[in-house]
Amino acid sequence: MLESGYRYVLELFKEDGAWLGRVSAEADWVPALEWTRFTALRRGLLPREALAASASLEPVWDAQAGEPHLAGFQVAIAADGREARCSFTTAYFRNLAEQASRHFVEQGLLSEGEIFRFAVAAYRRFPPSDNGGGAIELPPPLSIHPASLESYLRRAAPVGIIDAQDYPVFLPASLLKELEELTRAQAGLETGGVLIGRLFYDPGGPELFAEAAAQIPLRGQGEPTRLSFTPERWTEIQAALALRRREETCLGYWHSHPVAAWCREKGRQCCPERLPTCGLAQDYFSGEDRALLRAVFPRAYSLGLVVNDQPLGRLTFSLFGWRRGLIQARGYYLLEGEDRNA
Amino acid sequence: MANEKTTTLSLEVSDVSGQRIVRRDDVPPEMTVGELVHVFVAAMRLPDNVPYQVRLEREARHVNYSERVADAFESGDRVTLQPNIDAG
Repeated sequence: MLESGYRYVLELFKEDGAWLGRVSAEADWVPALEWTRFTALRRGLLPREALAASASLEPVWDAQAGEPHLAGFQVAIAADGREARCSFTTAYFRNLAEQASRHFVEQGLLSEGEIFRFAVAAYRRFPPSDNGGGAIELPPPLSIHPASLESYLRRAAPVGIIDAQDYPVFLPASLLKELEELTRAQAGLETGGVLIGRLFYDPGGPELFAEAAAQIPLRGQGEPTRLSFTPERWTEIQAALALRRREETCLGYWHSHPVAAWCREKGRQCCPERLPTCGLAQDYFSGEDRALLRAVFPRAYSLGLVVNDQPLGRLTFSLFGWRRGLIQARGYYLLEGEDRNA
Repeated sequence: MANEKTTTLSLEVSDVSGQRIVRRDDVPPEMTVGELVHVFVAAMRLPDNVPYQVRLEREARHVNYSERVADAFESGDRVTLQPNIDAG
């Protein structure tokens, strides 16, 4: 669980520095906690029990302004008598600041779309909070297999921007082909499922990496702008995963965006020149998509894969994952050749 | 069924990915399943604006929110919180 001895407050300013007001910053600390745990595991700093390690949250004061003004915060975890820490900047509070800005728009103090600035402050509280109550978090039954990252990289090609902060993810071409066929079969409607695969550890890095081996499709039909993951579907997915008996991990979920159908519905004409700048055609992860990743796949190794069924018959893939507690578009490695786990 | 003399129950709750598991050893038997969900959603820091169903693995069934913990569970049971959530 997560212990914090401070309460956090957002201050909003207009672009010219005029003070707008102050709001409580009840941040969702779980993504920061999970990033810290996963980073410790990735770098071999802590054992697997790190994934259930208790944590504490400490402010990092701005070097010039000092307390209570924040430059960021640190999450510290401990397991097996060792400690690991991760630092986060105030960018972690950006979504909260955007939500808070709506309050000032409603009050007429800020115009819709107007640029604003924000700062974060922290004030000590007594006693420290720990929302875990009497709950004990247990380490997950996570299988991590030894493997050589180099041997994977030799038969893979990078796709998109590979950020050094992201752990390497390998997507087999055969899996993407399967997702493409499922998407085309449901043209105009969203379809999806759960990505399953294996986590590997290369002590030479040290580095953790993942191979998405397969997907478990969501039965039934989606709608043009919605795909429901209901309790009944989760039961089916859990049963299918258990039947595979391959010590696999739920790595995340995938779903399609029938962008061509969205455009047709709105009477929009598309042309090849406009596609590269279209906000929906590529790397679009909606608020609902983010909420699903947060609710179901908060572990920092989790992934959200979108199949972009674009106008003009094009079909592309966008991968999203956790980076320093925020959901970001990320690169991956396309694995050619036979899937060893098929 | 839980023995009525049992003062508290121990329950293990998992999310659907099986990657986050929390145990409480002090679950009051008179609590309703709905109240139990509220407690575990907070303990696991899951979003509280999402509806969840509780699946009891031992009986492979969904448990009704109005059931009493003592009637629905045995100490040591494992349940899964299954969200009803949409991708957009």
